Amino acid sequence: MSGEQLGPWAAALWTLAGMLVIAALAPLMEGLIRKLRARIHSRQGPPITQPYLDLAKLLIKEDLRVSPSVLLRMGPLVFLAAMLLAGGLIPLWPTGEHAYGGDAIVFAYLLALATGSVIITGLASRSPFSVVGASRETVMMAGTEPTLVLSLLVVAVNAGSLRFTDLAGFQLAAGTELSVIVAAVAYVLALQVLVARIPFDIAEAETELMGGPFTELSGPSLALCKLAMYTKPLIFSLLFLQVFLPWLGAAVPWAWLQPIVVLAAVFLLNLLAVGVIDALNPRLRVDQAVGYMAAVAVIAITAMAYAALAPH
Amino acid sequence: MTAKQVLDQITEEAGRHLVDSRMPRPSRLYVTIGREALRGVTELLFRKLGGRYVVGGGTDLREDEGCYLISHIFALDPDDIYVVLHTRIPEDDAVVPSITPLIPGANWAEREIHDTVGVELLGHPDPRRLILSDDWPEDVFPMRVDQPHDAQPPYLANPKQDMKPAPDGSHVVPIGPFFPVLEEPAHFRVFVEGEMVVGCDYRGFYSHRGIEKIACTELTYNQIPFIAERICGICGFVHSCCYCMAVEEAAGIEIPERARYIRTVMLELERLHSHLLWTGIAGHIIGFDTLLMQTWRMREPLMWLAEEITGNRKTYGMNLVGGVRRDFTDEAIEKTLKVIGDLEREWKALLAAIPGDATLAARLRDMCVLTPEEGVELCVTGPTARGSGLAMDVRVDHPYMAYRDLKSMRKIVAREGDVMARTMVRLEETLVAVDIIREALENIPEGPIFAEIREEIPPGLEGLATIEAPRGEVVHWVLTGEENRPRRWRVRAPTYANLQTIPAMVTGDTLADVPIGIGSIDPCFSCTERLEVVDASSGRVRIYSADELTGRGSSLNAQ
Repeated sequence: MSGEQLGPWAAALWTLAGMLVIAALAPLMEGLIRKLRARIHSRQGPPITQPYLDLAKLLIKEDLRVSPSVLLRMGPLVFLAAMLLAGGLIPLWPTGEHAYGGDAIVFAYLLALATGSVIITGLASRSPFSVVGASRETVMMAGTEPTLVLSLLVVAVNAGSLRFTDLAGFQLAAGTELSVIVAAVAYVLALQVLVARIPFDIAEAETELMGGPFTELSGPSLALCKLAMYTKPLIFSLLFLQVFLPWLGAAVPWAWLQPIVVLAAVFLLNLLAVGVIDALNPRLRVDQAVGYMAAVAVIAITAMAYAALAPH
Repeated sequence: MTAKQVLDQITEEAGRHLVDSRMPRPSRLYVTIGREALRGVTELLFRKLGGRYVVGGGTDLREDEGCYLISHIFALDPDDIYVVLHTRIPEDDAVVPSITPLIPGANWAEREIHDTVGVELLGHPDPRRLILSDDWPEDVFPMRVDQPHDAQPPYLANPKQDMKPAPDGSHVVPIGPFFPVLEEPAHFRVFVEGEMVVGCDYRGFYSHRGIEKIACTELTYNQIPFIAERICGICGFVHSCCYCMAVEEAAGIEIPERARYIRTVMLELERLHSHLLWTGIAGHIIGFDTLLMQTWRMREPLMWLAEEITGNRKTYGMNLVGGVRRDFTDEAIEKTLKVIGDLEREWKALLAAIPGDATLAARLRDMCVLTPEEGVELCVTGPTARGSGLAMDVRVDHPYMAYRDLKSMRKIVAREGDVMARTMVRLEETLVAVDIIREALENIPEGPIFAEIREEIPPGLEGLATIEAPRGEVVHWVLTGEENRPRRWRVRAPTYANLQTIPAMVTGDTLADVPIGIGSIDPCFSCTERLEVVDASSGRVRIYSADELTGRGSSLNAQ
């Protein structure tokens, strides 16, 4: 189904439901990644519900603002809202009577809005660290946007549509294409950068920049940004599974079980890929990351060229 | 070259300005010259004889001799000689020529001389305050004898923040005084253009505690080892050993053989736990917390071992002038061999894994390079020197305690001068330390551990001792005094010399590399004590004064 078939109110409700699921599960995902990291460190680690406790504690603290600028007030709000909305657009059921998903271009816009609000927050904070963090975030965005958009567009070109449900449905119906496989490879290689975890947590590099763009935030503002950061592994892995590996969800016989299986797979993917890579590597410098992102973008461009030129 | 030959050359250079000289042993040459000859003899020792500048200090002898004693210590490492150059400055004409134009590495020592005894350094290129805080009054000099140790002079009303201005076109990013990677307060004022570092200024000594002063006014010879141990939060035993060795040298006290071996083993155990700590910190700085957690996990058994042997994890309390206070039992020796054996196994695995790790190499190779020439000019020491190809190690060049007998000792030198080189030097030194401990414990002689001292130590004797601490050469110079305490005690920790390299090291690299660059010299600010990145293009940065922040209202000069 699509938004037109559902009508605006139902579509809004479905999106809101998606947003709530993401918001509720993101801290759990973060808690599990932390637990895995702790085990790799040969230590116990905090309980997996710790991020919920962290956010709750931050929400009751004073929101000390370094300037009265409205940008600083709105930045964290827009960041979280954009991330959650983007996440809400991703279908939990790719096909079938419950399938509802958003538009890939809107998704990309929302992500860009999210990153833009991080940059603005950093610049509005007026700390030398947050400004450097904002500039690094700009570089990282410039590096990952092409890959993200291109890999989605490759599937879109093949599917002839920009809706997520059609992107998923196309592969289920027609089987996969070489260009889609290459685009999937590019996406996977970009995943660690998209979720901004080590070796690519460069904008926020604690030991170099204190907190990067978030240095001067406190209390509820910081809580909003933290939650938004927690949603990243969830959103990008969910997108990967639903667009590039829709067979996983489709293989589950009962409709009510599908999103549960998909989310479980998302958790597993994040732990084994994002979490393990995060724990076993030092952080890269921004110029080194640029080299990596450029190489991945080349792969995405190749996939796109093939998709555009090859006969369907 | 022998000390006699060095003395002959100094005599020739100083001519009629040579006042007197002493050579109590082949490795120690004490020469007193007039200040007119200071520059000439300094040039002779540094440039012609290739000596390394160690440290300088000022002593207030106005009560006894109506003058200030300015001293500079040089090392001739290949010949195992230390030359202590004294010069007496009359109290009514308290000016001495600065040697910093000749030896950049003498910069801090001379500024400290001014801060402590108030002697003016003529021709010093950068005569700013070093160890005194910005709001300390101008004319109060702590190490002068008429200055009580517990005086609390009034704050200066409008203290200057005497930091260098940013070069045109660059911004300032302040690293410190409080920053995630610094465990102690320090202020690196880094000048950047974008992410590229174009310069750096340093303001330190936030933790300056006046230890030298209190030792010479309130404490006795045998109380000082315990305060010496608290100079540093990691390498305390080095300081207590070095102080005791200096007094033992001055007073001519021979400690028993077994005590030498015990001190050696404890020194190497300290090196182990210090290098393991550093490896973890270096990992944390570059975002590799797994390295931090694992190396510190390997380090814990060493701390428990130290606690079993000495009663403490780090502040061993083992030393007194004349020997050590606790002996090694057979169980302790067995336990030590087992603990270091376990560590050695895991460490070898770590050593094998590190060079192959590509991301680690990307962060550590070719970063923050210190060239051998810069190292010589700035008189660096320890792994910082050995990482740049300067093969100096006090344990080999100027052997002390049991090192003369131990064959496991070898120098670890790398050529590249980058962070990776300094890292590998420390990693491999850890294995050498394990070998040394094993050899020392297997060959430890029986006998007493303490030489009783029956007479008072006479005043006016000089002693100099050096030790290779985990960070480099530690120097303690003692001038014995009345009332069972030193007249003057000068401590120089290795980070004092190595910190001066930071501006040279980080310029030309990016901001991301500054923390690991600072970390790679293994800075120990507590030992030393006694960075701001400014970006000019963004506009003005307002710095609030302490008074403004606490509401008292007066203002500092901004920027």
